[in-house]
Amino acid sequence: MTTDVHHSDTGDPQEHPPQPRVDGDGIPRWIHDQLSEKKSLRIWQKHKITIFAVMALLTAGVVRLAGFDVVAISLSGMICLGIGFQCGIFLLRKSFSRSHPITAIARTMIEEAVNTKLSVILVLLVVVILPTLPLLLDADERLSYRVQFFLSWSLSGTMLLLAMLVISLCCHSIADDIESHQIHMAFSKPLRKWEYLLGKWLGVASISFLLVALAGIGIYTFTTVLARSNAVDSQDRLDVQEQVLTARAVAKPVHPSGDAFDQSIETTIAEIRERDPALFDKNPTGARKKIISQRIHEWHTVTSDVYSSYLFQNLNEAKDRTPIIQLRLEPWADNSGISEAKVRFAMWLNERPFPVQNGIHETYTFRQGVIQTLDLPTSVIDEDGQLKITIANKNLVMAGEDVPTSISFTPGDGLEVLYRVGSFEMNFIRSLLIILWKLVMISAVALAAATWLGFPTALLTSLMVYFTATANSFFADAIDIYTGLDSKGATLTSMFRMRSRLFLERVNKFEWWEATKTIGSYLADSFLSLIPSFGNYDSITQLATGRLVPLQEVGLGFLILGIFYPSILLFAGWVLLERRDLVSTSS
Amino acid sequence: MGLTRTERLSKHFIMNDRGTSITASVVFVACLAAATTLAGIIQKQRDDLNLIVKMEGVSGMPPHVAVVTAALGTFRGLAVDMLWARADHLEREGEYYEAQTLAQWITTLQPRFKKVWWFQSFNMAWNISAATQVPAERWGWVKKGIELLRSRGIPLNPGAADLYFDLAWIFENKISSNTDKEHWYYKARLAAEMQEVLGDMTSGKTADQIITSFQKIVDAPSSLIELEKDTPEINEALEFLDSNGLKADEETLRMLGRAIMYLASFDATIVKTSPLPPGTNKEFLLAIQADKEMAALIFNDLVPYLQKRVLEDHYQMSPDRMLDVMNRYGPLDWRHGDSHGIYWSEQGVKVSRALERREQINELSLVRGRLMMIINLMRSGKIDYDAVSKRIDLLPDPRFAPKFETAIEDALELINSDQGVAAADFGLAEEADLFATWETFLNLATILNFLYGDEAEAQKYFKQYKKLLSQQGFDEEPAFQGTLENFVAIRFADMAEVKLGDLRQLIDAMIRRSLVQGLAQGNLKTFNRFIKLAKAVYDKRYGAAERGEDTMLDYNKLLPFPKLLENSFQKVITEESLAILLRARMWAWAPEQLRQSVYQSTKDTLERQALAADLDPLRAFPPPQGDDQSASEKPTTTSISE
Repeated sequence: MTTDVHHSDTGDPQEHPPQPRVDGDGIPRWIHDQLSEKKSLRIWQKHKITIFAVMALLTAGVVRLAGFDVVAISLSGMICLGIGFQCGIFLLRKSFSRSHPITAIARTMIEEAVNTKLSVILVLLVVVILPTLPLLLDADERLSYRVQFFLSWSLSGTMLLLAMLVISLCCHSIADDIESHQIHMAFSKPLRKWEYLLGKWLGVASISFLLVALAGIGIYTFTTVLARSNAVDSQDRLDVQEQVLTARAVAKPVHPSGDAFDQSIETTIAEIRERDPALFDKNPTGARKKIISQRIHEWHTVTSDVYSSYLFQNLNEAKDRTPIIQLRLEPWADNSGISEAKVRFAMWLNERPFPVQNGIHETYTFRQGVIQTLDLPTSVIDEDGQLKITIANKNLVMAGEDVPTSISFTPGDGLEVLYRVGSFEMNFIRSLLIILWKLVMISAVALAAATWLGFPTALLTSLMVYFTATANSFFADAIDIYTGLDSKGATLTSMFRMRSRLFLERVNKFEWWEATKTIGSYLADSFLSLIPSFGNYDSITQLATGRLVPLQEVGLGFLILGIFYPSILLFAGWVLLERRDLVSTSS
Repeated sequence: MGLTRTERLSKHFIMNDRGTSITASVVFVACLAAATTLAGIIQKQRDDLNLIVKMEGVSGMPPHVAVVTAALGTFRGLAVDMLWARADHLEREGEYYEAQTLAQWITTLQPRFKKVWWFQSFNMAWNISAATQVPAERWGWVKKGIELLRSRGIPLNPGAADLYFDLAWIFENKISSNTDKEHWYYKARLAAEMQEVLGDMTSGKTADQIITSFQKIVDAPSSLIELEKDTPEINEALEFLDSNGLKADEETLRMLGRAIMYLASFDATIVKTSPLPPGTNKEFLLAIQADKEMAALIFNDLVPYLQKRVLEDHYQMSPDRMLDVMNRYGPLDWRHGDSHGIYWSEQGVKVSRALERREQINELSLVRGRLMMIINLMRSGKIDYDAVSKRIDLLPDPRFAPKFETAIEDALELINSDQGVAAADFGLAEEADLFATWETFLNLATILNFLYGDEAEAQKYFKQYKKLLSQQGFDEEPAFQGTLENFVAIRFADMAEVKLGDLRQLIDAMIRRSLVQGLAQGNLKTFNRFIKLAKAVYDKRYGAAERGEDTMLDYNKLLPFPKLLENSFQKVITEESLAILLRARMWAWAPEQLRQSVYQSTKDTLERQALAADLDPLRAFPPPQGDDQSASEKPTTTSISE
């Protein structure tokens, strides 16, 4: 204890009690000094994380010895995530310890994240829910489905909870600063408003990074453990390795005759143009597209008297990496009115019949409209990395028909080959990065909203933007269907023309409710167009289905979600903050 | 001083307090009026679609269902919409990994909405199963569809008759019929599962004996306490189980069932296999074998109790009602999909007759459906399942014919009763609605009894058939002009899709049928019936189905009948497309003379085929006794017949 000697007005020296010096945590230093006298507490302060880790391990060990393996793993997971969080916060504090306005604001944001009750609750939810999700899975379910389900729901759940955390944190932070007048104190220092916003955003982005990383480590660990549990059969185990915990690229077919096919299409276009110039005069691009689409559809249709071939290229990598690739096809039985009509076909791979069992070239029989996945050996891929798949229609003549039905595949998605190009780990990291970009964008939305609106309104606005971004395509389809303005493949211009025409028609017929709906659809679509669709960056489904998350998608996500939108939003927030009368708002 | 910028803005753009209050009040009143108007309409829609979960309706639900349905309130509908949208989206993408979980959650959130149960179970049993190529996986999805309805949908909605019929449909269409390419696999899996629990209750027994065996399960105590009360010495059996590390539960019952199936397997004598299935508690079996009294206690008292428990707890089936159905429809083999279809359909009819909205249910189609199920059982109601080779054969069973007559009499009685039989939009059913079904039955009963059952019964049905058709004016058909034998031969040609004019092909088809359905099943009676029919055809030279058309028979092309038989046997026994175990059984049951006549010419081929199938040729196709006899000694038909 120190004492300050003061002199009174009469000049007599007096001993005054020490002035408490208060640390950032609000506890007077002398209390700390008193307490630190105790050795045990000193040890606890210094090594609390280590002590906690040891206790956690012991607890998990005891639980495991009691025979509750899964519970032990879940418990260990929770504790490790908690410890990881503490360590991460410590590292972040160190990272932002530099003296700069932006880093100072970021640091306070981190402290706020740690101290705010709602933030703590949401973090706890992530820490608790993740490890308990495996416990909810049905042990009799196929292992591949369990792993996929876990990946999908754990990442989606993490995304949802972290989005809630980020939104509440951002909105609360600025709103509280304004309400409590702390913002005036902040701006009384040499701190510009854009630095203030950028610091807040940086702080939230750092927290998001930490939490995404932690959740990612947890999810990866649990996935690996889950993947080692019992599979239903050997095919199930193979599916886990080759179709789930992998990164597969998609190869679309090209016509085996290559340029000759393209040339034939051009010839056809030229012939039709000559024969029917009016068709091209009206809409040359549309007519051309239609002809190309028709020729491609013909190629994808296997009639009873032809063999159709589809060439898949650049499969060299697949040949080296994996013993099997997957062929995904969705066959349709054309000219059949039966809803569950079957299609039957025989297949050749690079001129070799497949499959062959007991010396017999077997045929496939599938129900139409159901997507099938077939495993093909990579040994059939030739040295140039090409695989030519030839299909022959073996349909029988159905009752009431004269000829067998044709089999067709939807161009684009109806026939594709999936092949391994990377590891699950790299794919997983890319998926996490996209989740991070989304959180970063949402935090910018929340910050911008809070600069202008009160806390509840800012919160609701941010939530609305988040859910709209998540379900953008669903809302767009729903609005179109509800308003009767559904038009597949329509362009912006054609939709605008159609809606204007429909609006006028409805007004003329005095269908006021329908007319109102049309106006509503304009507003809704306009709103939707402003918000990016998270569905375009659906890395979670891609990861869960073993598909590659392309680097371009990650890069584009970074540019659009991580830079472009946050820049615009933060700029808008800065403009609003500049013009806002903070004094009258907070008084 | 002039106004500040803020004040100017306020003046222009922000209403004063009074204005705000007035506007808000008007909007509030308008919204309240609109909500009141719409509330009645929405409530009615909820009622019609059965979406309301009253608090008293929650009682009886499992806890997790009750909590979720009561707690979510209005948000339940939103959650359901999201789950449906996700399930639909994933299915369109061909991804089924969440299908079962989403189905469970959706049905948890909407437990009273019948269509949800049907949609989800149909989705799994038909759509998702069709997307996989692995038979085990396909069967997994079909089972999930069944269990969703049987274990959850129906118990939560016991008054929903549609669900019973939907469940019956899955059994009939997915398992019993041949529409699914893996239907044989499903049949085998169902047979295995049920045989593990109930054993083989039908082979070699009369209808009465089968029902008597099943009665033991019905009469068994329902709980362990009751069992101990009825049979105090059962505690010794329980202790005996415990000392062998077993419990009185489904697992033990199935273990016993599997062991018995293996020990009774005929194919085990041909295939190289261990004598007991994996997971068998050998010590326990040996102990039972040594202690006859304990064995009797376990099999006579404990096993029936366990069987009852498994039927009720696992399969949600009441042994009482199962016995009712057997008494009504015949010696149902519960390994057969149609038996389950009949059971669930019956429960549905009971529920529907108690409904106030009977006119919405098409009971006539149900009655017809049940009658057709019995006809299917006549065609293939006899199951022969071998646990070692996983082979399943379905054979005709004319024992169901008398029960069909009972069923149709009951149906006619119902139609003529005061309540009548509802035919949905068509009002009430009439007797003429069952005419076609009756005709189908008579045709089948005649043929099957002639070939597989009692000839006297066949004559009886033949007379009834002729009488029925003469009433309709169709009695001039050639098939009805001659004898019963003549009729069966002509109709057999239709069944076998063989031209009646092609005598060689017709006889060949009959001989083939005698081998596959007779010898291969160890059924010499059936074998001889078919041979006798073939001989009759051969002798009478049936060559025309149309009246007045004579067949020009080239006698030089037709070999003597024994030679025809020999050639057909040789062809079938070496036919690679027929399963080798089937042919091995055929060989085992074939008359000695027949084996002797073909052995020399086939032994090399049979040996090669046996080795390729990893079978011991000497076990699969043992040489006949005295195989050094001359091949020119042809067996006569009289030595082959009964």
